[in-house]
Amino acid sequence: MESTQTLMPEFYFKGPISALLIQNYGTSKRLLVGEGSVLAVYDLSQKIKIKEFQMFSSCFKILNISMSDDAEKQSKRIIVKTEKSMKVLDQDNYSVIYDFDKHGHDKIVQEKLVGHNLYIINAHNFIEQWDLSSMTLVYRRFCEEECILYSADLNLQNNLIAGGTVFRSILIWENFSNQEQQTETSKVLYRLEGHAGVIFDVKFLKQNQIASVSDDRSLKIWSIDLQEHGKYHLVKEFYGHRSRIWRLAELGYNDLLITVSEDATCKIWNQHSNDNRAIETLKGHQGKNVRALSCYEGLIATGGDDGAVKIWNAEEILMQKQKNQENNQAIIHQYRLPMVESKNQNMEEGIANEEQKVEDSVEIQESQESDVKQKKKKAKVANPKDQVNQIRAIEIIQTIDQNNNSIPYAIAVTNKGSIYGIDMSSSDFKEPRLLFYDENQLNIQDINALTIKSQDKVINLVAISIGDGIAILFKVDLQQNLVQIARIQTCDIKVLNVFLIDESHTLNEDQIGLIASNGRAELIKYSIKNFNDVDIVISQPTIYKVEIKTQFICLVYSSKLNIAVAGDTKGNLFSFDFSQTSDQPLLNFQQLKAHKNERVISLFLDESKGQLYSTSKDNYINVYNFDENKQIQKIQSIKEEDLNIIYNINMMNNKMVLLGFYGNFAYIWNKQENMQIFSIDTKGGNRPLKLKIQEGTNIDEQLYGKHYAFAYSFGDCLVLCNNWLYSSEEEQKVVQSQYTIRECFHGREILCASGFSLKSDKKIILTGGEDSFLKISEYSTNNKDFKMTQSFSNHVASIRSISKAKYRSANLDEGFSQRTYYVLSAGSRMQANLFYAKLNQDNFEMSHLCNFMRSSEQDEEQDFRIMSSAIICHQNQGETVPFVICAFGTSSGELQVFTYHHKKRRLEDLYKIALLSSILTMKKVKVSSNSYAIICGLSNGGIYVLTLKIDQATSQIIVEPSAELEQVHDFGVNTLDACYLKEYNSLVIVSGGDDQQISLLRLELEQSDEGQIKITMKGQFKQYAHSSCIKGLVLSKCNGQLKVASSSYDQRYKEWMIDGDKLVETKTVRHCMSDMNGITIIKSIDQQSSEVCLVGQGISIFQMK
Amino acid sequence: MGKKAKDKRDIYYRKAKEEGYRARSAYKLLQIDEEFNIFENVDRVVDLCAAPGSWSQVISKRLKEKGLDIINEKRIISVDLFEMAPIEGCTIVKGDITREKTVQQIQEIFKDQETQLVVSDGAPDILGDHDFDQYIQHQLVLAALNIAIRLLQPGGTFVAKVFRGKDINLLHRQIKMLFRDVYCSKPKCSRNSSIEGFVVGKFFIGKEAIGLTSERLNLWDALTTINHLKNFEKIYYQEEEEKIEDIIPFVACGKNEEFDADMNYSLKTVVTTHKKEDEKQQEGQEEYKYIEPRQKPIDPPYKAFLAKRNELNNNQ
Repeated sequence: MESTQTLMPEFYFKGPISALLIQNYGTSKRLLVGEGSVLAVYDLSQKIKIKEFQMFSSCFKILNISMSDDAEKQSKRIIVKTEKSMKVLDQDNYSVIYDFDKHGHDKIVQEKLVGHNLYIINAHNFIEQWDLSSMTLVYRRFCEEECILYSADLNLQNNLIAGGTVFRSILIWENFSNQEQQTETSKVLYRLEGHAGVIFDVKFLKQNQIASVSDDRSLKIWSIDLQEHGKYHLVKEFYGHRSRIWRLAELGYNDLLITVSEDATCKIWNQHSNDNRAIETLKGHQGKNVRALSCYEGLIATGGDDGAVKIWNAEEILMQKQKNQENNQAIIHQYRLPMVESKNQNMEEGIANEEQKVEDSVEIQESQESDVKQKKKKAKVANPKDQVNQIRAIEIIQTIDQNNNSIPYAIAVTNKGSIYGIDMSSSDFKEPRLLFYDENQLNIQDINALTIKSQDKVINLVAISIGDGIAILFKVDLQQNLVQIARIQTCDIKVLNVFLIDESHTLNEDQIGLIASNGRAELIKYSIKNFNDVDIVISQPTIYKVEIKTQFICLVYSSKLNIAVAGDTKGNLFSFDFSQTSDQPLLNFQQLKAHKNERVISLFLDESKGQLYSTSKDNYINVYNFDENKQIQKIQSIKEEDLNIIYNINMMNNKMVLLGFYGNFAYIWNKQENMQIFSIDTKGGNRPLKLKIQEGTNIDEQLYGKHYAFAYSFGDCLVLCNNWLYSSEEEQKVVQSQYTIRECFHGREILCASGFSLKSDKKIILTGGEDSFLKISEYSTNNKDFKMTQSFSNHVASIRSISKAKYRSANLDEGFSQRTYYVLSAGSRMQANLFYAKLNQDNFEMSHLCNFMRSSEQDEEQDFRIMSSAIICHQNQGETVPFVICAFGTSSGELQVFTYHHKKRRLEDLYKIALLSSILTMKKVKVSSNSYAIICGLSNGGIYVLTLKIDQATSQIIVEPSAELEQVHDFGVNTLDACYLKEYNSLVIVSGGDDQQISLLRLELEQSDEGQIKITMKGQFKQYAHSSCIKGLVLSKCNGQLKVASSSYDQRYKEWMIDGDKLVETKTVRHCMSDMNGITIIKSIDQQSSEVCLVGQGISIFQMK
Repeated sequence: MGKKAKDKRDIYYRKAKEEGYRARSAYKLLQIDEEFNIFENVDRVVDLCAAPGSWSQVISKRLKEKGLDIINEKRIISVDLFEMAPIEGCTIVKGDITREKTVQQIQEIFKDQETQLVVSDGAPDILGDHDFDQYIQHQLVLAALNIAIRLLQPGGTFVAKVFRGKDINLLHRQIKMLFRDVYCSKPKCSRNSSIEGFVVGKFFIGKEAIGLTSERLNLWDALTTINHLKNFEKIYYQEEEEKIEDIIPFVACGKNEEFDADMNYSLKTVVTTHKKEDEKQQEGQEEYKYIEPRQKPIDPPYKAFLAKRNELNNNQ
């Protein structure tokens, strides 16, 4: 029996994990994983896969794996269930003991096995008992109430069945096995009402209690009165998941309950707690949905739609949590910075108004410059909020006292003209001290201090900006007093940021730089020499300006690269390279769209890793690095969901720390571990403002530990702390209490794919999906080994199309060629990315060339998406650089063609035409040595053909519409493929539609004297192919014969032969993958074999015969 | 997303609001009717899974246009599990379509007279696990079918939403056992490549013809009877593959000039067709005015959760 079982699966499938079971196996533990129809067995101590079985035909998904309820440990067996059938396996060698098949027509909701008695609860609310030894039905009993169950549980002790219905209630009825009563139906004994949605899971607990989870995001615990039918009460209800809760399990430790949800988290609940919140949330899965769950004596296994399986040691996690809470005795100091009595009555308004004013001033500046100052000086009605300080900037510096002891010193600057300093050297901190007060009122947005450390001295310089464009530079002396050393009039409007930079890069030299940014998107840079002397020298300013009407909000400077990056009010980043001594500093910048139409709230530069972080109101944290040309490249985009708006990003112990907001609370949040470090009640919507963390790099860590300072605005509250939650040693333990058995793939639906083959058994698969990632995976045909090698996160939304064009193949010595391709990915938010891929025998390398995103104003008006794309790479003879042409089809029916500019690294407009319908699919075909056809499938069922001709002599590209075929399909054309048959001079187009049909067109091409390509229809037919919409189609030529492969939402893959004017089905494969969105066929290099790759809710690969 | 974003993205959503329908799905039934003439010779209609009521609105309008008295005679019954605001001429039954009681209620209201049309736009509001959703959706269709068998007069029509997923061919063939002509239709206002389709069964063959006597009331019995008439199990277990000839015909509904559900339209696009030309011209120049949806959803399942979440936030 074993031999028939250990069959290697016919398919390779990586997709949602649908079922899990932790199995006690001798002294170790094993994990059974259901992925599609394949059951994989892992050893949990070695973390390796031991065996793999094809449990069912590929069209059936494993829906549950459970242990039998036998009392004796050694007689337990494993039940693997699919929709309407199941197999019972030996717990030691996994051979099939019983194959329970074709019992009826209904879906099995819950099963229980004791000895050879199998109980199954069916979706139509009835129970059956089967005798597996004889495969006979013992009895079937209906509940009096006809309804459809989503979930159920059977309690054999009390002989009760609990059914969770689609319609909000839990029905409890009796399971009579009594033969005499067989004809009757069971009465509903209890009807538990209280959930507001579908019951997704229900479980009997101890002591007549029942737990249930629902669409309404709650976990409820009920108690039924066994003495009196109908009597029950709701014991507790728990809330915490952000989305639907799919499954529920008992942890088997301390009466804890575990749930998994659509929000991709797993939560631990204490039934007996007085609080109705979860005691712990386990995060780590990507995308949406964690559906599979298994618990065993304190161990939790979770499986997500991302294909990942994670193991959590709940016992250790909870112990660690308690320990951390005990350790978290950080001393937190809160200060209210007092107002300085001022005679000046010109009160400033709140931040929002200040910004607005600067924007106003930008507007006005050109025409009414003289009015600006007058407008500013207008007396304002004092707002009660203005009666307190707003902390506008904070900084922690290191100073030394007279005894040469190092002192961490916090500096806070308010909008009311005062600078306060706090000595943080002792654990009880000293009271804030007023260091500076300016009668004219400070007007600061950002401050930056530079610490210059040499062998025996520490020099701290502090720069601030005040009032109308004035920056002041201070030195901090040994008594921590601020000594003004320079006052610079930088411009005539408000300065938003000031920055000090170590320009000389040699710490001993007496020279620094100062950068200021103002409301006109200008950076003004000064060099300051001899600041220790009386003869201070300040250079003439260098101005860096962008020719766009915008305003820089935040600014960072990298001393390593000598560049400054500014974020503006429209979500752009601008980087200025100071090291290049260009004559025209005006032009010397890079612009990058970072956030969609929202101002960049904060930038953070992690100099040690060379990474830049940005955040905006859209709550995406973008991570960038710098390439060799100092160009900013986005490498990751993280959606933050625990906090509302992120005001600051910082790093601490190599972990991302955020300052954000949720409800009424401002949080300092450890992003890596998703836990709160500190929260403060902002009492009615006051925004937090600045977070500054100073680590041991500048301050003597051994003396003081790690520091962070936190301030929130619309108040005078400054919070300082000199402790940190964990020592790094303890953090290690947290990591060990959880590990990943299977790595994650796409967390959402895969929408498109493309493939390459390396040497005979190695394939590269590119996939793009709803989760906005473009992933590169490597697949080996021989051992079906699949691993993800690289992940690109250049896209901000769904990737809907991937296309490629071959550039060059050069033959190397050993007869093997190195090939290069241009790869284009495109999708939602009108975004596309161009890559360059290099392939040789073993390796595949892909690098990013450029990002294309439609500028903001247009997509504000309408929500556009690129639905389809095509790429052409054409090389004229004698030219070194190829033409790279990209075509996009949008949801609004625009067909846009761009050329890639190799030097400027961007796409430039070439051609645009508006069609009447969305362009759902697109394909390019080469029709002569210098011309191409771009074929588009439209949502109204039509097909549109555009031709492109590249003139050899003039290098001009001529684009022309060539054919418009109406009503090829009765509904949208979802997918198409085409080829050019030289011998007939015709174009063959096959297309698959929402109308479930495949159409085949033959178009004859004719080149007129003027060089125009004329297209005439020569043949056409159409036929039904699937029973749902066709989403994937590939046309291939094999021994002169045209073959078609198609895939559909009816979960079938079919192959066809073209025979005259009809398609003949040659193969049908059913696969349990939902939403089959596309097919890619990858031929091996020697063209001898090919593999079919289906994508949708996962990826499925099989050999094509 | 701003309020207007949905208006831009979904022209039928906007059209429904402007023309007074409770949901965009009204156009689906209108377009199906255009193609199949489903109201021909109809004087009693049952609308299953009716909430928020846009199909009932269409039915009420059509029967009124035919000159039938829908106010004094009970001709339209709208069934749903959820609360529904009243619609002219419709008798609202709050009930579960999988329950026998509901069928009896309908029969009582119609005084045991047969109906000529049964429609259902039912779908589980789940859309998480596609396979399971499809299964439940198909069970809803079968439940609706079970009601239709009991209420329809021979020659009657059945229209139901179906998810064209995994076992759709099975469902189609089950319906084919009961109706002479079965079509898979898709109205233009339904989004392209959405899994949704509408099955239209015309010429009900009659209870007697399928061997169902009026005593057999159980849904499960009805289903097993249908299944035993032909061995559908073989198809399910892959012993038999569906033939291309068995695929029921696909019919696209809605005129070609109708709006394309996949496109974005500018807010300046005039969606309401019955307005006079000069009025239209005026509108084009006016600033776009946002209209609130006609019927806001009643009690989403997560309502309590939202309240709880706010409470948690405030008590932290």
